[in-house]
Amino acid sequence: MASSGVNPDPAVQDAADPGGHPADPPAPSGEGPAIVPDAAVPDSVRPAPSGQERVTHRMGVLEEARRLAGLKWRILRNTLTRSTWVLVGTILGGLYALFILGVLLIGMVFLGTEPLAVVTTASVVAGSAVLVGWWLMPVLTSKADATLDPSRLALFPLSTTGLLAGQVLGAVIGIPGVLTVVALLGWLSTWRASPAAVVAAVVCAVLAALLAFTGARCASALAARIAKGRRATETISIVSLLLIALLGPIFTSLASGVERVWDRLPGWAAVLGWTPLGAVWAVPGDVGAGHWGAALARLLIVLATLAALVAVARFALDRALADAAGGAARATGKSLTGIGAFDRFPARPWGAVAARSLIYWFKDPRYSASLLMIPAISAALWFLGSDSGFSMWVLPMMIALLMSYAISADISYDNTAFSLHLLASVPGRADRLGRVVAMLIVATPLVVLGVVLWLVRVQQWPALPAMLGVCAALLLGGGGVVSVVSARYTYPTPPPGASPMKTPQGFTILNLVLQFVLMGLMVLLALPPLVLLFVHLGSGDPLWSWAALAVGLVEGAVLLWLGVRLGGKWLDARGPELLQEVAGYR
Amino acid sequence: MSHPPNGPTTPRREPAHDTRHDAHPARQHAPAPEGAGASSSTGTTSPGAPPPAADEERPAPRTHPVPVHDAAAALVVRDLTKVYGHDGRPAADRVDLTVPRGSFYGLVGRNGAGKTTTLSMATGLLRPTSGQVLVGGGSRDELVDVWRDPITAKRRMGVLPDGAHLFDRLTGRQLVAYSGLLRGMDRQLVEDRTEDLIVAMDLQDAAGRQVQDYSAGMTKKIALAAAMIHAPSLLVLDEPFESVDPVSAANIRSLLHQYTESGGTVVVSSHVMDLVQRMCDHVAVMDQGRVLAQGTMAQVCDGMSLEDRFVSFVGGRTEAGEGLQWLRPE
Repeated sequence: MASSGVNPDPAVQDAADPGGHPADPPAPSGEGPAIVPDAAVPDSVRPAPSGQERVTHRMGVLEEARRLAGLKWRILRNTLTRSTWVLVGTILGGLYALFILGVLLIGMVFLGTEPLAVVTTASVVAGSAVLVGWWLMPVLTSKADATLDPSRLALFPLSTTGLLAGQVLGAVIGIPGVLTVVALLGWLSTWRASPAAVVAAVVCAVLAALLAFTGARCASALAARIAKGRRATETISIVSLLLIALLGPIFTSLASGVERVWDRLPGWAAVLGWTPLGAVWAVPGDVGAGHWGAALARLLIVLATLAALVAVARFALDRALADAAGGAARATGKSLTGIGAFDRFPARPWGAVAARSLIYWFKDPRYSASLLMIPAISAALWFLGSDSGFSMWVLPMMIALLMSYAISADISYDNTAFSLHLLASVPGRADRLGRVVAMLIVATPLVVLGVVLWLVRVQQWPALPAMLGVCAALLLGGGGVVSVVSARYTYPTPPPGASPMKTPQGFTILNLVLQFVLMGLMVLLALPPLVLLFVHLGSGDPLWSWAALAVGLVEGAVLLWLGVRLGGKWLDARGPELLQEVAGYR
Repeated sequence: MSHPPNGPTTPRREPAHDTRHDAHPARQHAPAPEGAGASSSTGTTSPGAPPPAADEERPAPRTHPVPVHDAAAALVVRDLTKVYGHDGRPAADRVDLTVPRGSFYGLVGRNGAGKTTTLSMATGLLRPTSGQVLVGGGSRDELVDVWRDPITAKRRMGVLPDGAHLFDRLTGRQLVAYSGLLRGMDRQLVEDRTEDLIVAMDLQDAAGRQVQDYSAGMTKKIALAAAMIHAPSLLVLDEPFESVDPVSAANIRSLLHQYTESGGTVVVSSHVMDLVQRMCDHVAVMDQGRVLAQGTMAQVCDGMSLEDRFVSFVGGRTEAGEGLQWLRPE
């Protein structure tokens, strides 16, 4: 209770209560005197007066595990049926997973006809990848499976062993768990050439599943520990975002060197087969080939790994249970003496908004994530367009487009903090202008960098003015368009403090349409300089290139001015409604 | 678009007063809070005696006529109604409130009684379905409609919304300065007042850290500082003491009392009756979107404690746990 400590009388009040309330009669406006007899407690929960019997009793470990798995199932079901769109998304995801699974199963059936050595190599490599996936995913997504979060279960009288068993069992429930189990069943069929190997594979499949699930629990515990330092979580989510963006280029470069990789696979598999990652996948091969010593040694590796994982998971669980309340994030960052960027902008409302937005571009991971996408996209385009260099033409324009598009989420990002702008009656124009100025400060160097990369690759000096013109139109004009549209239409974003990867509630197809329309509009308005760029490329006359620059700059500036005016007007008119709208995003 | 640099600086001599009270942050004047009985706490306010008194013992909401032009009012709410959706129950149902100038006004009610809705509408954050909100003050002392002339009205108000996010990636100092600069105040003035407020809130050590690292109490205090930087004549604070530690709460209370003594008006919403009874001199009771009673603390309490009086108004259960005979240690 927030009341300050000095208060002398709660006890007195309580004591006085029965005496106090009969003085009810001056009941106002007939709101009922309402000394309702207390809601009757059902007889079933009233013990016999003398009976001191315990209503709770200790459950066995298996019973605990079963109930926890049941809890996980119920949570999963409720999450899926909460909204139609979630269900549709899950079904689509499930179909995709089924497709992958089907391909895998067919592959495994065919693999069964290959010689034992090939089967061993394939299963070690693929199996190691699966284990890596299970062990890394919780760390990368830094939220992983929070349903059986130990800190939420800390209040219940559960044994550590039962809890751990429940968590491992619970891992099976859910799409990744089911997929893994089915894939493991398929894996058994690959050993059908040798009955002894099949028997060994059954044991190994169980061990492998245990390794995967227990390892995932260890990783989640690790992730939870890391998550307590906020900065670390943000870094990790951004890095994983980058990794995902870079997957494309990585695969293309891999694909080009497929033959070389193929040749090296057996060597890798031989090494992996003696690590905790790969050992379990190689045992059936050893058994099938009659290498009993090797099989035993690998089995020892597996068992030792499993024991270590269980010990770590138990330890982490004990720590988490004992520390369930101490979840406060550590303070981060050094103390700042002045008011930072606010000193370097004019002391006007728009200057303040610009300074604040600029700080957010660097301090808020939701902004920094979109900032970090730029190098990822640059790298992807750089590698993709190795042949014609066409993609390099797109690069600077893409950066300009994405950066000006980024501020369309600004007010959604502010969430209810936007109320400060309303309370201070910031003129709509100042709000719009400040946000665009901050964006331009961040975006200009990036676009220049893109143009430099483009020049390095393409070396078309005469087209430089035209390229700059197109970028200016996209950046300035796009800023204007976004200023208008985002003053009226918003879309859900992760709320302040949430991970940039979090999917906000209530994101619908309509929001997606809005985003496409907005981008389309920005591109459409940048067409004049773009057309001039093409004319220049067609005719080779530098005049067209300079014309594109002029058109781009003028058009961009005019659009920006109009956008800030109109957007400001809309914002002035609809500020409170906008606040209500973004307040619902969580 | 551009206020004159000192525009929001209302005619009161705020900076001087600010620096004065950091010398003795708390405990300056005990009389008001310790008044236990409701009657004595009226002492802090003198001007508007028992202002809209008339018929306050008959708390039936609709009977008292709202004075057409009450010069001594800091905030007048007339027939304020908010209906969400089309045919829902109104979250605020023809709310009438008159907050006298210089009063320390408490708005009490259960969760969901419509306090936050009412205050949001009164401060320009939520457009009312119907009704009117007038804010007094200013040099010519006239009532200004919040929804007709928001710029003038908001210049007079400092608001602490309940549960709103702050721009919490800013440091505490930056946040307060931002709030001032947004209002078009002069930079030097903003920096001076920011330092004064930080000292007054006892946040010197934390001022350079990001607000997201603050505890709940510190967050409330920095938000309060951000609401006061333009020296408003009316402070509207929604649940200002929620999860604030006792020392900070005492600190804030004494600061607010000094503020009212120097002519400012404070409106506080809370569901902690004890706190309101000790702190406020006027009170309004809300339930289910309606005002059940309002007036000076003495008028509303009518000799009882505010909590008892509130329960009798609202008609809740008073005795707990009679039916739970099985709930006892083994």
